[in-house]
Amino acid sequence: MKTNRPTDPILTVENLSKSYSGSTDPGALVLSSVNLSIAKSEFVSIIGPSGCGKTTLMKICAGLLSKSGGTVSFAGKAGTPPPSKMGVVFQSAALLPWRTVLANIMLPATIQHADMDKARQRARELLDMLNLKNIESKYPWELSGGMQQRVSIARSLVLEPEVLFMDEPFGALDAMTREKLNLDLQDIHTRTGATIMFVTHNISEAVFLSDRIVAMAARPGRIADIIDVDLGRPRTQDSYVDEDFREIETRVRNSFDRAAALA
Amino acid sequence: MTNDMISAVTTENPVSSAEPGEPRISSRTRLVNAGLSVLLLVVVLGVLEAVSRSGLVSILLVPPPSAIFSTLWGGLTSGIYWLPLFDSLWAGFSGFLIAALLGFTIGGLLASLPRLERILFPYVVAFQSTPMIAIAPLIIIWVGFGIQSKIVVVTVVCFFPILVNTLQGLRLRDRDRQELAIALGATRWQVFRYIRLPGSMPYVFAGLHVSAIFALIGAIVAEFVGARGGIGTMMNEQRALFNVPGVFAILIILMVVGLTVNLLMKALERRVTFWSREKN
Ligand SMILES: Nc1ncnc2c1ncn2[C@@H]1O[C@H](COP(=O)(O)OP(=O)(O)OP(=O)(O)O)[C@@H](O)[C@H]1O
Ligand SMILES: [Mg+2]
Repeated sequence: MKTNRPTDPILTVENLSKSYSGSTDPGALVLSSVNLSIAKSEFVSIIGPSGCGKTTLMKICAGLLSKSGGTVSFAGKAGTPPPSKMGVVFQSAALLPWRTVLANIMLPATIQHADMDKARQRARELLDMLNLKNIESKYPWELSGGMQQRVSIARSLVLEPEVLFMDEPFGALDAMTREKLNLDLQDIHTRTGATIMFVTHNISEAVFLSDRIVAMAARPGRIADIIDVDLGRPRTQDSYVDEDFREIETRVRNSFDRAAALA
Repeated sequence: MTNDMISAVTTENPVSSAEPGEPRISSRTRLVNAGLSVLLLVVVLGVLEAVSRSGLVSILLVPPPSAIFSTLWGGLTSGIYWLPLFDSLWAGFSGFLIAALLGFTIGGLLASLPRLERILFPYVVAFQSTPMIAIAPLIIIWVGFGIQSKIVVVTVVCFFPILVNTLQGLRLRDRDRQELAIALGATRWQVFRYIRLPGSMPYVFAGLHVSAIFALIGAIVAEFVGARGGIGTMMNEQRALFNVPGVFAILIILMVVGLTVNLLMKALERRVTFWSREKN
């Protein structure tokens, strides 16, 4: 498949399999023969029914989970991206309740001994961009779920990563905030040129943001389809009602339904 | 309306919000409750006074509250309590500090050496389930009658709650936080310093709180079973003289000290683990 092999891949997954129990028999596999290459600066969404292995795939690519078979390579070398070059947004915000918002966003800089003044400046920019003004000295538990998730997005971006892994970052948000953040994320993607692997349940969100959409099927988790999103950028709020947009959306929905039916 | 305003404020500021399941109480109800508490105390004291004066029981065994308070007042103004009290508090405080230091350090060490922890854990549980205060007489025999033996008793009594709580707090493994640590490339030391240690603080402080009360008990019991000086020894002397009001007066002092220790620990705990009741 041509679309599966970009000319300049930065992240490559070959023949990947995963079983949580350690047993290798087919019934125990959560992921089976997954092949995927992601080009530098590409935005790839992973969609699929709940439990199909999206989070598992993403975490293996980020080096947070061990794999049972196959290879993951980053920038041509076997292995996952080094922490200094990646950012991760978890399905739950995973903020530390004893740190203020600013201190949470600065955590990557603290851990990696980065330039703190620069990181602080960047953190404040991100707070502005994500519409989180005047909360830098609040604590995570004083924020709404949506605000917490935005803080965790700011944390993932503070060191300007080359690769960004995002696991349903907007899952808990209302439609309005979600659309606003989709615009922001597109903006961040365009400005930083980061490579983004984005897990979502939401088809129109996937179409809006992605260069390619990977549809997964369950039991065992595998890639059922890969859909190119040939829409110009920047995409705007009007794009949602665009004819081309609707057509791709329908194609993705059909893949999604077929994948769900396979399970 | 006042009610609504108060609950609006508390929802906006989770620090002062009630714990889940606990009904919100208005300030008026709170005042009434406080009034009823005081009333209860007055009634109980009144009944005791009446019973004691009625001659139904010996005045020697159940002295009237008024006699207890006048003994207490006399003792406070003449200053006889201060030195023994200071003696006991000093032993309690230094024993507590040593236990806190030891319990926390050893807890940290064991939490980072899981193998050793597993080997020692049955003994830790065994010691923790033993009322350690019972070895106070032995310690007096081993260490002698001075202040050192009191400090040792307090240390022994306070050590295990602090150790066990520290271990429990450090042993917590939150998968999200662990994955966050890997994603950030944190070293083992950084994981400890930035994630596990702060995360363990609610447990550590629960242990310190229990131990602070134990420290007072430890010092007094050590004095009961032979250690020299202190408010416990004084109480023992009063008892030997059948000075029941004197014994009660000292009990009241101990009650005040205990309450103070409790409040101090609570305030400290709130300051350090302010985030803990609210998280998630
Ligand atoms: N730690 C684990 N131990 C054992 N099995 C697991 C573990 N984590 C996930 N699984 C299983 O692996 C499969 C894939 O899980 P995963 O979390 O990757 O799904 P997902 O596609 O992200 O689902 P969702 O959309 O609901 O987040 C599921 O069947 C799940 O039960
Ligand atoms: Mg998931």
